Order: sequence, then structure tokens, then C-alpha cells
Amino acid sequence: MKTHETKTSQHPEERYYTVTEYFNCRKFNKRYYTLTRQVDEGLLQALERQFGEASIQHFSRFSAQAKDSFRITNPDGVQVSGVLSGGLLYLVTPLKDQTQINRFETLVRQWTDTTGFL
Amino acid sequence: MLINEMQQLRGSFLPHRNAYIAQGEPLVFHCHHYNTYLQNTLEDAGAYLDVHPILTDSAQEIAHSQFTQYFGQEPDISIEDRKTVVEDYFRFSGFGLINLHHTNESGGEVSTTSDHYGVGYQAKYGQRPAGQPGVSFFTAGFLAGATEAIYGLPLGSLAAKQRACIAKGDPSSDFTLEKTPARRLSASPREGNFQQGQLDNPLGSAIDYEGIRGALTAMPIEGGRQDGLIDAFGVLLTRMYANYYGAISYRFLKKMEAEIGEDGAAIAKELLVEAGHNCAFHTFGGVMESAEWHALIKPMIRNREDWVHGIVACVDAFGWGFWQVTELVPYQKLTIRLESGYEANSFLKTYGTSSYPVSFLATGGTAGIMNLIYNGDITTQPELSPAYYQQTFKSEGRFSAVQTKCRAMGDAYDEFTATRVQA
Repeated sequence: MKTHETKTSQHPEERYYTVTEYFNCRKFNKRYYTLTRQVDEGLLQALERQFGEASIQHFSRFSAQAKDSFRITNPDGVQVSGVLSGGLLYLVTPLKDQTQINRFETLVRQWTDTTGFL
Repeated sequence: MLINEMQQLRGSFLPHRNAYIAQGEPLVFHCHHYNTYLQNTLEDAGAYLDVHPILTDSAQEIAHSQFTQYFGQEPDISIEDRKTVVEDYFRFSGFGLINLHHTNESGGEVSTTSDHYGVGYQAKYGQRPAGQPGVSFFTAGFLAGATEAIYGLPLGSLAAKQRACIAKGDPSSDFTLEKTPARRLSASPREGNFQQGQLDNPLGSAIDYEGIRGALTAMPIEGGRQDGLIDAFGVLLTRMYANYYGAISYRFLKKMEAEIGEDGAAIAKELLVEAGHNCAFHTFGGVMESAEWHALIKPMIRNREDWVHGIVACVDAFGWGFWQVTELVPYQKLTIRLESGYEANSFLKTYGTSSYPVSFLATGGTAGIMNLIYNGDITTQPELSPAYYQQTFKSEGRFSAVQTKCRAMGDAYDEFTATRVQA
């Protein structure tokens, strides 16, 4: 078995999000972000420009209470998923690929700054 | 293009049976944790039993049955096109990527850099030691059965051997198919002794079972074009043949019983339930920590009990039959009623009745739901690590389940009750 660690911490820039990080056995880094704003069309478009086209699951068509989810998978091993009109984002990157994490976090911070805080 | 042929072969979801049926074969969603753990369970008995033929032959029987039926219905499809639709089916199901164009009625060679068992085994267990055989017994059997069907050969006329394995560090997994003296293999039990039913929304829960099933069964879940794998919910999923689980599990159980007697059967039962725990931990846990859960189900949840209903509603989209919560005492007890469970469907058709309960996966799954929600706390999104598994499934106060009704024992449905293990 490979070793697993979990690190949960308040990000230094917690006015944007809090993040929990996993190291899992798939050789990928999984992080989930609890945002201070709800994901909107603007963030989704920005993520698509950065990481690739999103597939949307239109769950709201099947149940009035449900929201829609999205998932972006790109050839570099980066996967971004989340809930539209929700406050949660998942980021999966190859282990130790800090570049992709930085790109993602910079984008989220810029989006938050642009759209304002709740 | 062979779009229509590919679609026909992939089958469809039948709501009145809660089952995916593809050319007579029921399909169920399971992940690489369950698939490789179950395989390892059998391999661990290798000192007593010759288990590798079970793993390979079972896949060969089912693939032969499925593709023979399909090509019988569509006799005008050329040999090359048959190969193309089989390759597509393999990818669609999350089994990986294969290329059959170096095979013929006498056998041939197949090589892949991506198959579910090879990738999944390495992801879960790391590199397989050099002295052991390759891990892709299922793929080998599938290749033999599918190639037989493509050329209209009888079941058991080809045999496949794995020569290299990506899980052992080889650059590819390589298989050789050869003509073999006719072997006595068994036909698939096909759709088994299934039941029809309906999805009920339990009173007292805010969870929209029908809506969740509709949404999940409409999701385009299929293997990727680049690797043929279904990377979803943090695991590698497959649309696996339900009868493959039935064949390898019950053949293992019967062999253990025949070789070692009652003690052997008791060990096998315990191991098969433990495989169910492993499945619940990773698959149910992975689903409950996914974006899809947070979009589709989380908005419906009013209390912790709705987490139980939410995951059971998801299970109702896995092709595992009709799962229904009939009793839930928070932190204490869960009773699940199961109609048309794939384990019982397969067992009844293959063996008839049983003197003991036989739905081991569902037994482990019932306990797993309670352990994730009331012994651990999946609502806080913990890491699904081996340490957390120990904490939630092996600790004092954990939940254990028993099968209280069994169709193979004459009951009208299966039933499982999970309660805490008393110290």
C-alpha cells in the first residue's frame, strides 16, 4: 500500500476559499475548495479557457431540487469539477504538479476579485 | 461508421427491472477497488485451489455468449466490422483499449497499454511482483470468447494467455490466442432468474429516488477515447458483466466448500462479504464525495438519514436491482430489501436453491452504508484512505450485516440488516 496523507488548512487567502488536499493512490492530487462565492457562468467560461471544454450534467432536468454539475478533463491529467450555482470545486492534478494548482488558484482569485465577495 | 451496431451492442437500462441489459447480459457498475480486491481474494486461495482458470474461463463464457447472440442477430456484419464493434464495446464498458486486427480463427496476438485490470491493480496495489502471472485474467478471457464469437467458433475452442502485463512494469499487456483442444466451458446464465418491480419513494425522506435514478442512468458514462477507462467518482468504473461476479464468486465458494468443507465455505463467505465492504467504502464513498453528489443529491438532503437514502437511490442506478430502505434507526440499524439482485438472479439460474444466503456483495454493501455514515462521517468529506477504512470498518462499534432473507433459499426477496458489532 502507498502512503496517504490528508491536509486540511485555511488557505492564506481564505477570503477566496478554504482548501482540503488529499494524496491518493492514483498518483493524483485531489483538492476540494469551498468558495466564498457561488460558481457562475463567468467562472465556468474562465475554467474552460484555461483547462478545456466542460461537460455539463443537467441534473436539474430530472429533479426540481437538483443543481447542474460540470466536469473538465484535459490531456495533462487535470480534472476540474463542481456544482453550478454551488460553492464547491474539486481539482485533480498529477502529484506535485504545483503549476496547475497555481494556475487554478490564480484564476479563482481573479474571478472572485472581479465579481466581488459575498 | 458502425454507430447503430455499436449502440445495439451497448444495450439499455430497463427501469422495470432496474437493470442494464446488453444483448442478453446484465451489466452492473463496479470499480477497480472491488474488481481487483475480489480477484485478489481468489488468488489468495491459490495455495489450495487452481483459481486462475476460474477468472479467465468465466469471462470467456460470458463474452462468447453475448457476442454470439449479437452476431447471430446481425449476420451481415463483416469480420472486420465485428472486430470494430467488439473493440468499441470493450472501451465503452471501461475495460480499456484493444485492437483485434491481428487475430483470426486460429488465434493471434493482442497488445494494449491500457486495460482496466492492469491499470486498476497497479493503482491499488502498486507493481505486481515479477514471479507472478499477469493480472488481466478477465481481459484474456474476454479476448478468447469475443474472438470465438467473431469467427463463429464454439465456446472453448480458443485459449488466451497473458505474456506481459503493465501491472508488472511491462510497457504493454500482451496476449496470445491459440487454438486449443475443445474444453468444457459453461454457457452464461444470461439474464438469470430476474424479477420485475418498481422504484418506491420511502415515506419520511426528502430524497427524490426517481429523479436521481433518471439523472444517473442518463449520464454518458463510458470509457475515454485515449485510454478506454471510466475515471469517475475518484475510481475507475466498469460496466461489468453481473454474471462474471456470479461465476467467479460462486465457483470460488463451491471449490472452497468441496476442497476444505464447511470451514472452507465459511472462509469464502467471509472474504466475499469483505469484498463488499471494500466496494462500499470506495464506490459509495467516492460517489458521496463527488461533484455529482453535491449537485444532484446534496440539495435534497435534510438530515443524516437522507445520506442513507441518497446513496441507496444512487445504487438503484447501478444495475444492482431494486434496493429499498425498509427500516432505518439512526446510528443503530439499517434494513435493506432487495428485489432482482444480480447475485440471486445469477445464482438461481446457475445453481438453483441454496441452504445458506448467497448475496455477499449486497451484505457487505449494507454494512458499508452504515459504517460510512454512522461509524465514520462521510459528510465531512474524509480522505478514503486505508487508515480511514480501518477506522470505519474495523473499529469497535462498527456495523456488520447479515442476510435475513434470500431468494436462493425460497424467500420472495433478499433482505439485509446491519447493526453494530457488540464488543
